[in-house]
Amino acid sequence: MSAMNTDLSAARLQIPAGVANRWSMVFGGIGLLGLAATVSGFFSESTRAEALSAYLVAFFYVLTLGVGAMFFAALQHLVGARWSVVPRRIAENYGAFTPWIALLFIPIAVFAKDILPWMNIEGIKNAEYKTAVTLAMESKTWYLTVPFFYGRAAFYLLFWAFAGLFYYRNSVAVDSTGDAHTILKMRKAAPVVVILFGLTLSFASFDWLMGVDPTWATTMFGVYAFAGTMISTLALVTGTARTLHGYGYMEGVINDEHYHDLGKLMFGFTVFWAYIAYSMFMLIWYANLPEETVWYRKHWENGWSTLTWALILLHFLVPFFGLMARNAKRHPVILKAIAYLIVVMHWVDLFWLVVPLVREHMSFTWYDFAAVLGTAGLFFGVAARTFGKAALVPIKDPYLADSMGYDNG
Amino acid sequence: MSAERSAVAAVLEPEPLLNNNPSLAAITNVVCRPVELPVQKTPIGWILSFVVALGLLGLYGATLTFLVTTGIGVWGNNNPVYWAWDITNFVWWIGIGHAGTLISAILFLFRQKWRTAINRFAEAMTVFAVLCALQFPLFHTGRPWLAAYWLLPLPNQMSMWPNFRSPLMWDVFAVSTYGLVSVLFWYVGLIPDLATLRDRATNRTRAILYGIFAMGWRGSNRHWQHYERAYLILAGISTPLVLSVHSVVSFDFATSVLPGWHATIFPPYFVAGAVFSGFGLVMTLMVLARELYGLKDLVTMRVLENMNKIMLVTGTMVGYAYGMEFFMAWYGGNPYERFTFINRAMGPYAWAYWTMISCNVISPQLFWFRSIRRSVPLMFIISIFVNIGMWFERFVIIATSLHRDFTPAAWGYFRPTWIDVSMYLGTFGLFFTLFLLFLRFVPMIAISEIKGVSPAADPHAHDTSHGKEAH
Repeated sequence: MSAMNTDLSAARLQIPAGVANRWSMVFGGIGLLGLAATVSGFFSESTRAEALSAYLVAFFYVLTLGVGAMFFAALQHLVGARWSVVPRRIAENYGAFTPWIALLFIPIAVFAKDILPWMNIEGIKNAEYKTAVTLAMESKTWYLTVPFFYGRAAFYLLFWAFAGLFYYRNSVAVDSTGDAHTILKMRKAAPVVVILFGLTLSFASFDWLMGVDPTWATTMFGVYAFAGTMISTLALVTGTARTLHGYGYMEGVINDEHYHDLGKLMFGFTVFWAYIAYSMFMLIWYANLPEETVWYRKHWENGWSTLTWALILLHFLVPFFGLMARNAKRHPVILKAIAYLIVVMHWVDLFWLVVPLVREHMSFTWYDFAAVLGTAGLFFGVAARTFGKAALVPIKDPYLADSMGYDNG
Repeated sequence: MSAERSAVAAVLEPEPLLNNNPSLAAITNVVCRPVELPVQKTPIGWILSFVVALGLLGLYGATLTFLVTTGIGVWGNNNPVYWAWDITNFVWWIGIGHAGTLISAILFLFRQKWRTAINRFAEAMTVFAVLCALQFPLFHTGRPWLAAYWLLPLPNQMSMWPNFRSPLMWDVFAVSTYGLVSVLFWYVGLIPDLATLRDRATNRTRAILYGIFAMGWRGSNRHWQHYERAYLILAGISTPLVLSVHSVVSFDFATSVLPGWHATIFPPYFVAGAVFSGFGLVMTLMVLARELYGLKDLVTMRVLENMNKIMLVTGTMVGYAYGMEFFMAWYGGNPYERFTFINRAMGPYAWAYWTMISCNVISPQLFWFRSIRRSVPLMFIISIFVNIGMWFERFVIIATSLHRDFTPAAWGYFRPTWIDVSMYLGTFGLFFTLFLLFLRFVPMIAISEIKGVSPAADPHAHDTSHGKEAH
């Protein structure tokens, strides 16, 4: 608003289209190769289960990153935050990925029968002998019906696509108009978007993750999905900011204070994730009800305990101690390394949630990596193009000067 | 430039934190006034309230005497409702105590400056509420004079060390840590204000008494530097405590195998409920205090509106948890779990369940309307609904899960006795006695903190651009 306070002329805030497109091609190319390799596995009986579970994890991974970024942007408007104006555009750019989630859902929609056992419920229902499994399944036939399942999915996907584009487009529009009323519009939409985000993410996690074992259920599951989404999104925004800054972008606009704040939030949500994970585990362990503990047993035996320990170490202990010190949060390399560690560990977390339920022995197949390279490649490929389309910060946001001049003290 | 800024201000900028731009001296005067009134000028309203509070405290003493000499069998607890008002009241009071630390610690870390209008008030409530909560487990032991030994049996010749696997034991650690840190936080925050009272004292007794508690505070640069460092560290320590205390309280129930208690969502759900109820009672009392003590320039409509928004958020979170419990009870397919939840909504305690839903889920939704968020009478009424609803939440969780045991032969119904009622009322006597003493002898608003957010303290207050030089 004032040249004195926000002199943006010297800052590199625009990625040249050529650079953005080149990165988009690289990431997108990796993505398409990965997706093609994964999808090829769907068509053979012998590899379908492996490839599908790998794809489901990879799909949910980019889903949480895209939807989480949309949520981050909405949350800043909800609380009227000013410090976060500078890093907000990064989240908005990633949030614009949300329409692509619908595209990535197609393989799940087509092959749902092969990954979600309840889809074969007719066979189970007509079984001659009732078992614990058939009884547990019968109780939820009202919820787990094929039309209702697809109807819900359509609602989630439409809402995410709409909300992601809403925050991206309106924010970019402000870049040229500087109209405070557009910001007010985003602020007014925020509470509804945040509530619907909470509900859709919870139920999507029930439908697509918890539903892999339809005999098992726990009330915390939606909160666990949220905790992972939140921490990975914060880490993605932080890591991206550091990377762009490293290439010389946003110099003089983003500063240590923003990284410090993002680092504090990452630290807080690392603890929150551990708190939710521990509460869920401890309560099930303590009560020791067989129908509940069986789930953790599958995550512990046959080598899976290694992955569980890896999660505790790398998703909690390393970021926790790594981010504790003030200097670490303001250190370019440490902060970036931990941020990307969390981004990777979020994939491990989702892998840990799903795969032990369908694969008896702890193992990685090449589909697991092909699938995540596929979806993440597409995610970053789409994002790179988006990053090149507009300035890297909301240049006419009325609170940009506040954000740039903020001091943690 | 400033025209552009004011155009933005008209659309996005919140109203100022303080009304009528009070000077630093005016802030000190208005906050110190109730504390510095001569004895003979004590407001009649305060005296009457104090008499009522003391009466209830007396009732509490009589009740406890009867309870301890007779035994806790005089409560309405029965088979199968072994836990009833005792633990309901305990959890309710602990929940009330959550607003203080949330406001002082979490909102501090989130740089929410509006909190300075209410943090002292809420912290005091926290300390007194924790004290009230502790009454219930203490007297539930039947022989409270032995409770300390049971918790820490030294010498241990009877080999009866506490069972560290019991969540009730964890409760002792969680609540006592919380109480201790809350007192410390409250007191550290008080020191500069106590020194202000010492310096303003008109007689020697006051100067000496406030001087002792002010611990030699001189307001030097070094003092402030240490103070702010200590405040930040205490805020950091208190932040996980806000979550841990009610999480551990929820473990009392959730570690069991009882349908209706054993739900993994309990820890965050209880924390959200605790913050919700804490804000409810802070609102109830703050609305009264700002009217009676003329604090409307400091505790402004913006502060009240923000509190209402927090109640809307936490009330909605609690609603999410109620919904999840119901959904999973149905989806999970455990017939006992299902029965418990249907029984809650349609059984003999349906009246309590629907009271809870109306007060906790429906009433805060009214805060979607700006006019209701800013209406003092309506927010007062809704905050009372929240207090009632959160009491019923604990009662519903506890009594409805217990009263119909696994076999119908073990079904029952809980009715409180007059001892239950008078003990609960008695803790109000304890709470309000302490709280009224707090209003009379301690500044109810953190003078130094609210000055820090006043326009008079901001060297750039007249610079409409707000921002600093770009780095």
